[in-house]
Amino acid sequence: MYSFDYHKPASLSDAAALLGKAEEGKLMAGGQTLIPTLKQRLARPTDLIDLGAIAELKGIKEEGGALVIGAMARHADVAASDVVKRMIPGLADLADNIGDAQVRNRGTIGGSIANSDPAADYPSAIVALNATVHTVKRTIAADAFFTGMFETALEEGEIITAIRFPRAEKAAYAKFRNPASRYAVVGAFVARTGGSVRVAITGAAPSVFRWTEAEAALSANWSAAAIDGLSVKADGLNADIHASADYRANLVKVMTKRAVLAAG
Amino acid sequence: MDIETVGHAGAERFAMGQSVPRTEDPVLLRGEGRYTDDLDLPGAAHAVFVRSRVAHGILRGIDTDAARSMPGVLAVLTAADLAADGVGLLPKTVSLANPDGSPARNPDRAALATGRVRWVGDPVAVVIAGTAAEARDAAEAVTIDVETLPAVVDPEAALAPDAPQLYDAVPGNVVVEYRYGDAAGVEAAFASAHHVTRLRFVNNRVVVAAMEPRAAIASYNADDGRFTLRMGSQGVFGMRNSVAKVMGIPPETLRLLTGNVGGSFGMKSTVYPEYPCLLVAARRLGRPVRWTDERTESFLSDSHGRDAVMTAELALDPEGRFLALRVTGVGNCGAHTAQGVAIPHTSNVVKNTVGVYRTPVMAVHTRVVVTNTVPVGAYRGAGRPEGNYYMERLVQTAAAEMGIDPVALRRLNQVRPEEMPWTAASGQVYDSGDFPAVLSEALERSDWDGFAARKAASAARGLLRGCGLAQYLEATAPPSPEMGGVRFEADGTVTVVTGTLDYGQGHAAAFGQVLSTRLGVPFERIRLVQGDSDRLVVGGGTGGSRSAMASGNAIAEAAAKVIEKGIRIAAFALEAAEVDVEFDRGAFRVAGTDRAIGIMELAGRLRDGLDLPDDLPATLDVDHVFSGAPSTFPNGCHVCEVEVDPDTGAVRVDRYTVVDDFGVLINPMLVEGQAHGGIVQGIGQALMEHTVYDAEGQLLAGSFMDYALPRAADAPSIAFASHPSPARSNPLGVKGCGEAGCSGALPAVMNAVVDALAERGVRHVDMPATPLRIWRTLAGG
Repeated sequence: MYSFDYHKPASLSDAAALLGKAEEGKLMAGGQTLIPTLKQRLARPTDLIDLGAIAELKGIKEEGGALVIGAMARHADVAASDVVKRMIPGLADLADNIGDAQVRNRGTIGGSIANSDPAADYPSAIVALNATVHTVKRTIAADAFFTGMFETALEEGEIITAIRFPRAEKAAYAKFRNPASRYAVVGAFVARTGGSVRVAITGAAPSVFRWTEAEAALSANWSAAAIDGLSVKADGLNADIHASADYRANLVKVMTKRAVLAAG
Repeated sequence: MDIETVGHAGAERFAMGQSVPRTEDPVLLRGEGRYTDDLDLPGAAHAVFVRSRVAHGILRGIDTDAARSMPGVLAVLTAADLAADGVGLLPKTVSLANPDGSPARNPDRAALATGRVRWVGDPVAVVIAGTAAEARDAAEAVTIDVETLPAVVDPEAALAPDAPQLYDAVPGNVVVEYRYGDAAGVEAAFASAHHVTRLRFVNNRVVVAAMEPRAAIASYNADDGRFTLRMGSQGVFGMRNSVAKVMGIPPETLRLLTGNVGGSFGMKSTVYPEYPCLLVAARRLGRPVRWTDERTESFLSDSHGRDAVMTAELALDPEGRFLALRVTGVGNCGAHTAQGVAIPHTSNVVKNTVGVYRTPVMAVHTRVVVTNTVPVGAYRGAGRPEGNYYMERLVQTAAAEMGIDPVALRRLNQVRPEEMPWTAASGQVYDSGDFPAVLSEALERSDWDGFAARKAASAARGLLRGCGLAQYLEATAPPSPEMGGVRFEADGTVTVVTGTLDYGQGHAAAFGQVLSTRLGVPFERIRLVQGDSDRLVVGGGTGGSRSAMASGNAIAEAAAKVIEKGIRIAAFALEAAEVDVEFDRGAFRVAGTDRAIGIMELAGRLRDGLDLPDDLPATLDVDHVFSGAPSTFPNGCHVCEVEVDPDTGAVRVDRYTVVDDFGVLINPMLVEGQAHGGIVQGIGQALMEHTVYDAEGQLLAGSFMDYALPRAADAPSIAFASHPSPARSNPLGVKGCGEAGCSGALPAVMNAVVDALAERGVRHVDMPATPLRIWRTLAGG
């Protein structure tokens, strides 16, 4: 780790001011990606601005029939939240299976989606549940938020404040874990919201994507069998020492079916 | 160091055969252990090593000027500095000869790279600074000018005529060609055999990943010219001698201290380049110099394990009798032979493949090669698991090919207990063992007969269930001298001094039990000293599953010597003739009388100045050197059941049963723990641990993000049972147990995986059976 100045502002305005002043400032939510990156000397910020003391980023509530999760809600908070379990149990289940207990007690939903790791779990839920990302400046629709590998629609210094999820009729997530890192090799989130079906796949490609053929098939027939006749092309999918592109293509189908079965 | 024992009452609870809890655990679990990095030496400077980022290249230059001017930097050393200070080459470990009688070609290897770099991680320079952060900053400022050469990482590829050559002195990259057995006789047996089963095995390379990274602290006392090196090891005596030789100093001028060690598995047993560098730096700077590996660095700086490609063949007659066995292939020792070793690919293939079976002849022909990879050292079993893996996969495959029940095929060929001692085709003489009974008990305990019903239940859930059987036998380390010291201390404790060293095994309890049983001294008064080279007169160290035989018997013999001395002194104290004094359960007694003195009381009288005649020994203390126990032949039967998910290729170990013959058990709980650890480590190699290099020699599985070690959730509940046939080759009757878990687990797990896939036409799968590999195998790719 290189040396840097550490700040822990108590308000969004203070955070913005600190970021504006810093030569090369870096926002930190739960730090579950950033801190290992710093320790390996792969990043060299001059200032680290810890969002952990900002009360307005915290909290999980029902608001106007939707579920609103503060950006700094930890995975363990989401997993244990009665509101989440009542409104979208599949989302609580996803949170409960991110990483390990240590990661769940530090990592946050806002940090996860701002980082946009291709193997992160949350992006699939954001897209499949057609959530809205609220920032200090605006609201961003799920389909517009994730723009590529480690890339989002967020502008420089734009801080996520909360994520708003419409209540889903059915929602579940199934993933196949990397045997080493336990990240998702492929994760599939299926959701039916207001009669509309969405299937979002994480881990398989550089960024989360919607599997539209599966959405159409499940719209016509909400059952795992509806996926049987579909096939997924390996072109453009990720390949590494754990999973080739064609293996990932297979897992997209298998995990989607398992998510549908889990959603009931 | 001293490992404190915890007081208990009741001598019988601490006798040999009792499951005495590990005495070090209360200390370690409270975080009060003393691992090397825990030690605080005032004024210590910090070292950080600069390592090659390319796998193979000509070292054109090392620019250290910028680093030297960085804040806090005290020194930057390269190979030239070490040579100037009289440091020699690292040890050459391969002592075998080629078939033509010429010696093995161990390349010259200095502690820091000279001339060329040969793997990603090859140490080139060391930076010493006031703090670790300053040293790390400066290490980044060292620039290495390397002209990149093509690299070779795969052992078979290293043999190709056009393969990149690592050393001029190692033509063809071959360190040694190894032959064993009557090749012509074996060939004749194969030529006339009814059936031949042949399998090619990739014995996958593994990263050792001990929980405690390597660490060392060097210091130098200019007043007496002595060095002290504190570090993790597997035995301080041998390590002291080896390090001193590299340093070019007399062994007695180096004190080597080892405290608690958090795992080693063979990896911490060799002289690594860091140690002489730290000693040189400490002498130059006149202050202690410390170094602790970082986890990511450990992947590149610690020896790896396994890595061979072997073809094994079994010849059978029409009834399934084994006629001959042959193993040919190549083993990878990595970039040099200071950490890289040949034993797993040569002599241990011979000793550990033919197993429990009557097989008249065998032949082994292997080559050991250098490649542009991390050196490959001894790793839990060091050839024992591999040999058993080859054999038990052959037996399983032969049974399937010939349509013979795999249990019946094993029974047909097993050596029977009444045939002991049995000289195997390996030349090893088995002293004891009841292989048919061990097999029977394993079948019964594993509910072998219930497998079909469980398979049907798995199938109903869309899963493929397989059952794997493996009956292993391994040869533990050959005899070497070992120290058994017993000292009656002024504070009323009894010190046991051993040259073996605990790095997780639990020696303090086990050795205390041996001494307490033999000498009747209270268990809670016994302290174990093992990690101080100044206290040792000899020491073979821990390795090759030898400690129970070596130190256990050394302590038992030392106890007998204490009793011999004690009888003479007690006779004087009790005013009796020596012939009338008997020793029983901790007391010297005049036969037929009630006159007696306890051994602790006698020691106390000696301390208080008992006025002895000159011809009597002044103390009960003994520095015994045990000449060594022959190799033992631990054996057993593992039964593993797995479930394979054909949609994802994921394998789950569902049931695991093991019945082991470890001879007499000193401490059954410790032994069972060793079996558990070895089995889980075997499951790791079989299913998860995949050390992948790319063609340029970059380690792709270079951190725990990509290198999968088994976690608790990956381990099954293991049903363990002991079926002992006491060893006849050592006084205690013990057999080694530390590595046997791996030896049974590799074949049991892989036989189960192949059995699960057999209904889909699969005959063999290589390790590691990762989800991707299983899925691809089922997809026919």
